[in-house]
Amino acid sequence: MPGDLLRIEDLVVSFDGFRVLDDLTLTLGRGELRFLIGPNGAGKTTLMDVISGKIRADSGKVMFDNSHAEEAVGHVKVIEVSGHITFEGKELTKMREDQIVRAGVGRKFQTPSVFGSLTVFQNVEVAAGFRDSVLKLFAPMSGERKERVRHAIERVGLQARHAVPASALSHGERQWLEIAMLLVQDPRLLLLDEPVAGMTGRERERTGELLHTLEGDHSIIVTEHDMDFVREFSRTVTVLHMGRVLREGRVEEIQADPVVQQVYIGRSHTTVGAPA
Amino acid sequence: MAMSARTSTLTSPVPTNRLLLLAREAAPFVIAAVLLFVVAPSFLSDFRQNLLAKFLCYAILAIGIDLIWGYTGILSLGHGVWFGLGGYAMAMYMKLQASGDSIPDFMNWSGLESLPWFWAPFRHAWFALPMVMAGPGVLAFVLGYLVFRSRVKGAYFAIVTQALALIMSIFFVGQQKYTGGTNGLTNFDELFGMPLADESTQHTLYYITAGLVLVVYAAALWMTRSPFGRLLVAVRDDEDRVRFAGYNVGLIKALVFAVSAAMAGLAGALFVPQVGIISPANLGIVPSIEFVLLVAVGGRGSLMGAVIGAVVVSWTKSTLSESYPDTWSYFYGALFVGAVVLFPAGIVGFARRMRDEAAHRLGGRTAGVPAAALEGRPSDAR
Repeated sequence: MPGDLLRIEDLVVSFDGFRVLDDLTLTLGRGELRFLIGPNGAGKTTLMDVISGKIRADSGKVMFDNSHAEEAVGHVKVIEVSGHITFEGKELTKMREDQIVRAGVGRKFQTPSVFGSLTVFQNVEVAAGFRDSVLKLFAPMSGERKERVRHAIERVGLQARHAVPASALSHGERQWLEIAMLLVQDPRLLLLDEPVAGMTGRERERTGELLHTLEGDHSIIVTEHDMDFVREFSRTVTVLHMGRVLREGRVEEIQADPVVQQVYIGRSHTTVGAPA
Repeated sequence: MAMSARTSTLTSPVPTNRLLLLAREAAPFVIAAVLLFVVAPSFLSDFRQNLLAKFLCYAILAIGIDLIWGYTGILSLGHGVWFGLGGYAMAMYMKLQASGDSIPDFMNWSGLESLPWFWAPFRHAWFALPMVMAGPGVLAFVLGYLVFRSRVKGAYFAIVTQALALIMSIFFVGQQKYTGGTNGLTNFDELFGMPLADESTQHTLYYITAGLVLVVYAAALWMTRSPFGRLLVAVRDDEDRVRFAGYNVGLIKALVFAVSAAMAGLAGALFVPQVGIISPANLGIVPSIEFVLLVAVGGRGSLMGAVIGAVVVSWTKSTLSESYPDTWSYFYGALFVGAVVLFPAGIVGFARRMRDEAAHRLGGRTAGVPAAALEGRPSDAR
């Protein structure tokens, strides 16, 4: 379809021969907000890793974060990636992570990662300079740039905390700071890995509302375990299971689907979308 | 230091008290300039002043190490190489000046008949002087980019730099006919027509070195205050996040490595005419580790700490070796162990903590916001 921003075709990612993503095909429209759910190990984070370039065909090993901790002990994985990820006509599987970001794909990690010894303002400032040549980075920030940084901080509601070092922020505030760092870069595609984890009820509300103000201008993929959040704020939901797309549709249809229920219940004794 | 200043630049686009800010920025330079150009020359003997000039060379080097280690979090245990290469570039120039039309004496002894091609351009000051910084800088950039591109970091990078220091010192010893071997390069006569043995020449060198300390300090300060400086701290905090913010981290690291190496090269070049010799002993593993300790004692992540550490440690070393010729190295070792164990944030870090605690007790404005975080100091020991 011409309106598609992101096309994933026949994507296979295997770790030591085990297929984490198995012939996955998925398309995302321009300006679309898409929720990605699925039981643990379904491949949600791996999918984000491979779109954002954290996993590449030639990477040979993954830089492990907590989501892979149990597999990280002492051996280098053989990683194979095949298939295509096309973003605005560019083949992402061949690109380095920083090139993918400059192409217009921003990523927020599951565990919020910000620069602890920099202030909120400086964190966003670092993100804002991502297209600058090295020489330009030696010059002081322009007024227009400062305005953009301030605007991004206001969008996530952290303006009162702008001079606070990021290490002093609460978990929820860090999540927002990381979102502000994405917003200032104005990416066409945002990948948000569990953005409301660790947030209070009110913070969740605000994040959900933020997602709705962003859709249209940005395409967004959100992975989420919190089904209340998904019910309240989702448009289209894609269910992943064992590295494949199991179902796609509105949240009510998904929750009523016997196959989806079977998948969740069969793997763990919890309800659909319970956190790991 | 600049805490309230920085906060106010964040809140309002135009700082209201610009003059005050400027005065605060300039104050350390004025004080340092008075100390170096007025106080030290009138109170120190010629001998002590020459020693101080040497220590100031180390201060230039320490600023470079602080940029890469304190700000960017990359530990290099091979900066002796860059110091040495800068020193050799200068020494080659002076050696050729001293040799006149013939080839350097050691080449004669090793059976060389003519000057090797790579020595020839060092006859000219216009080549040798830029090479002092460009040589180490370019080499460090190329090596650094190759290593950082493969995402070698932390202790592994430190080991790579150690290996480099070892290889270089062995190489310089082994290539006697080109490098002077273990003896290094020595027996220089003059620098730009000034006899090195003259006190006036040494005084001139002192003033040049002191001036360059201020220049290098100002350059480093500018760098750390620019957006690039924030990026360096970001790389230290979370390298992967910088990558996923769209930066080529390998390039940034290689660049700061090169800047740091160029500063070390400059330090080496200033060092050689003052001590009259450069040898492979100056670019091996032991001096490389000592260089890092200068910054560790002074306080990494603080440019002033690097300068203070370099001068204090060198001064202590010199005083100890004069007072206890046989046992000084034990005291020297104890100093390092003590400093690292008792004052992990160094002299400047300790002073800041005292100040913050005092401010906290008085209920001052700094309470609640740790100054360490605002000034971008390292929060972890790496």
